Amino acid sequence: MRTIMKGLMGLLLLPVVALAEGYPEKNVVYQITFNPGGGSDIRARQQQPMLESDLGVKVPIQYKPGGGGSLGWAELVKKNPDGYFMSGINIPHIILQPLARDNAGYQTDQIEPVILFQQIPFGITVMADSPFKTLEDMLAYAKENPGAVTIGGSGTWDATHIAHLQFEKMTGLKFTYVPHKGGKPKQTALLGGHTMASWFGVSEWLPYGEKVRNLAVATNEPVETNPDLPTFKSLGYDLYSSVYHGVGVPAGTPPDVLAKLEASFTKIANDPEVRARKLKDGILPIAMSGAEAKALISARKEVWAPIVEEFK
Amino acid sequence: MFDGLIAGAAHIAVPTNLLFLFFGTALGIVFGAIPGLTATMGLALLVPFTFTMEPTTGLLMLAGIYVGAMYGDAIPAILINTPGTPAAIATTFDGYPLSQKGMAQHALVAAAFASCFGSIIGNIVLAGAAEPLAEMSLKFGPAEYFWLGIFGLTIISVLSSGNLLKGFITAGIGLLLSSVGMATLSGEVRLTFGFPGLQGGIGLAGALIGFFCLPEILSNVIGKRRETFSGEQVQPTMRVLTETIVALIKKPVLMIRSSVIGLVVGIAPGAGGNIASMVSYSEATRWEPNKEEFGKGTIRGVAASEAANSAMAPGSLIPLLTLGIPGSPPAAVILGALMLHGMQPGNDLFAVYSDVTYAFIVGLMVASIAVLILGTAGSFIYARIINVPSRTLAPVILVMTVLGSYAIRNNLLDVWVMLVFGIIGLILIKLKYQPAPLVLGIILGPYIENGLVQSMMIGGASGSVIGYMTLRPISLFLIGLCILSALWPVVTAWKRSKNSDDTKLASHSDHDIGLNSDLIMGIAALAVAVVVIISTTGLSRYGSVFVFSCAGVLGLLGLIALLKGFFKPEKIVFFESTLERNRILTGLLLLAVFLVLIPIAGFLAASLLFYVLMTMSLHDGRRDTKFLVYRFVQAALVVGVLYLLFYHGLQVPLPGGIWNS
Repeated sequence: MRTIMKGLMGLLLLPVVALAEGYPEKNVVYQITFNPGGGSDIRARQQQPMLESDLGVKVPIQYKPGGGGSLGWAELVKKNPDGYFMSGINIPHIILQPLARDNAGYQTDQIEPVILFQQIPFGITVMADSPFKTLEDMLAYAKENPGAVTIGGSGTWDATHIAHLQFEKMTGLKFTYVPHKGGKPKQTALLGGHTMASWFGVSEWLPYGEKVRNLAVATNEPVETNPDLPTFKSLGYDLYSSVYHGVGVPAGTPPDVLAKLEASFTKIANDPEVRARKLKDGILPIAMSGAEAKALISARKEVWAPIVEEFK
Repeated sequence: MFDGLIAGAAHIAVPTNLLFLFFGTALGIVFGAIPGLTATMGLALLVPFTFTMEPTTGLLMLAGIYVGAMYGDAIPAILINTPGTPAAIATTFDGYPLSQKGMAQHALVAAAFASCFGSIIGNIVLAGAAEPLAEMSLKFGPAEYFWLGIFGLTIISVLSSGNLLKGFITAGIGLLLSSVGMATLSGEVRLTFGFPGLQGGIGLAGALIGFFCLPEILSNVIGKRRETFSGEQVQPTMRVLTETIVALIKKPVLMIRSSVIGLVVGIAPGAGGNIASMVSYSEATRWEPNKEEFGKGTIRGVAASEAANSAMAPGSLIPLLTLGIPGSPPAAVILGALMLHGMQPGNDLFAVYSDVTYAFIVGLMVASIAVLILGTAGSFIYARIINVPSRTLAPVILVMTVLGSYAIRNNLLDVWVMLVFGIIGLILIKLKYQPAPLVLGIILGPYIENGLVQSMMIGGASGSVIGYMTLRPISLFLIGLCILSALWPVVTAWKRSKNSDDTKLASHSDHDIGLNSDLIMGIAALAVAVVVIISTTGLSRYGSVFVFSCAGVLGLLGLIALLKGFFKPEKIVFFESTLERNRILTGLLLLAVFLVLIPIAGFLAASLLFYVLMTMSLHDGRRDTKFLVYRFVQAALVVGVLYLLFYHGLQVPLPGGIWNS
């Protein structure tokens, strides 16, 4: 059904794409809001050759790291909305930063999502030798010893942190959330026994194989890589947590230009080889249109705004 | 393992692979040598090119870049007192004095040989003992990082030879600078003073260039009009080459100690070459005979620093290849490259892909030999760079300082910060305060703060923060080192006073002229502390604990300096003449105009104008036509090449001016 819908939408878009014949006439800059060599950079450099052959112009990659990405997104919204400057975007970052900070330098609705091309669901992971065999074990222990369970996360006001706060509210229990300077230090801390449990993405726990055990994953349906792993929903907790990676342009970009960019990125996202590699690494390959992404952003914003307000 | 190594060596024997390995090494040296460009950036830019290569060929090229960059950063450290990357800060301590004595080639060869040596030792351990050592790397938790950072601070006692108060005041300011921007853990924005651009914190590249490179040029080239960077002309010879290498071979303890320190620091995930070379240097000054030579130009100092930062690289690959945990930022890029080629470190790298893995390890060793070849042969060329008259060299370097502080984050504010740091650095040096502890503070701040805050969280959950932070084997070991290191100056001072009383320097002759250095710094430190405390009162407990502690200690130190300034004034002559003052102020004015013009006229036009004006000013206003035409052509060539390299080669978005946007 979904593919049929997409096909129909594609047909509808065809005349629009034809209108944007002139675009692009010069290089389209692809901005990365994190350090060179990070996940976002590597991803963009994988897309770069395919984008260049599809758009017919050079797609130079530029860096503007800092502030957890906020410096780059502040730069993005200052650019002309003409389609010649786009930037990698992450959800929840672009929703949470303007909510949590007085001066993030941009507002979420100043960014027009072009596409979200991958999703990484999160869950709670412990070491294989942990006494917590199930989520219930951990909750029971936390009930006896409020605040004694340390759960690692990748940072403050990121996907893991907001999931943690939601989870604490749902269970009514107290854990100690330990933020880290990104995903890798968080993984090291769990492996070294410095934290008791941790919020891991599927792509983060897969490489550790039998060394780790997952207690639950925050998706609607069980994930393909771990079919037996219960979802939070099946255990009675209405928790959904994923990080989404995509591309955005400044709000006000003409629809035909948006359509052209979306078409290019959709083509790459649906490339069988790209999909296969992502699945192998524990990343869900998706090709969520700009319109769908906008709906997702506003839905999430509604859920998160009160939580951020409460804990800010 | 030996089968693996032999199979790996077979890959290297393939001519294409060897070619790309050498190419990568040469490129790595360039990335290391240009301040502002780093190994991380070089690797990231080259990763896409590996897509089209055989995985082995691609990885070998990356290995070359990593190893090459660990040596390349020593070249500007030695020649112009500017570490190419933070890992070479300790290389400047003896490298630059050596080149001042006309012994630049000694220093360059020592750096190349020590880099090669450290790298090979590190790689042997990587090949042989990766698995057991990987377990050790996991033992490093928040408490251990906290103590490692504190231990790093005790190095100040070495850096500020004899004047601890001065060292700790500058280090305190550095620690506070490290907390500018978004707090890594609590996510709060601090000390940005209304500049959203500062949310990303202080750029290390800008700090290095500002504190090390600019003061040197401002004071010696622009102010004093010194003829060349080196005291005398350097004449590279084969004899220097062999002499230096033989001298270092005769120092096996120094070489092995430095390599082991680098290796251990590399294994700890997150700590990198920056700390490795500092620790190694300070241990060298502690244990080596004739320690008074350190800091005045000895190849042993250069070797201690370079062996350590080169051994760090294979060390950081140990947790990477076995567990998938990168021990340094460049290692993180290599991880990305491995995964792009479908190899997942941890589970199957040594099992399934042992062929490629061992080829990579052997590649690292061959790359370190390539470093030795390129470094020693290159020393004949690099060493001559500083024979170029400094009034010709200085404008080139100044344009590069702007590019270097801009290139990593593409942020013009970083360039302004660099200029401000340059001015502060100049003032510090004139007041007889060293900028090195300040940069050390900037580097160590995040380790100490993150370690402290996470320890408070985890320790709080377990019931006792103090207990969590101290009662662990590595923590106890590091605490022991801290105490030993802190007491060391006391012990040596006591030894010295027992041995000789005639070393008192009679330097209090100029009582009436000049400025009171401690009074000025005391007031500055107090002012910084007060401003910081006032502007961070609204922060959460976790966001403010580090900043408050640092500001408190800095205020206290400032008070002591103030008192010392009152009772034991140390008078300093700031400028030797009004001519020197005017020259420096003119230079600063030109730089400021340059920065103002960049966003308006574009980088190309602004730097051309700056280059010509700066050259004219350095030649005291020569205006004959032939001279001007010659200089203009020179400016066009230099700026053009730099523009091509950065704008087109590295795709750095240099501002094009108002007519371009």
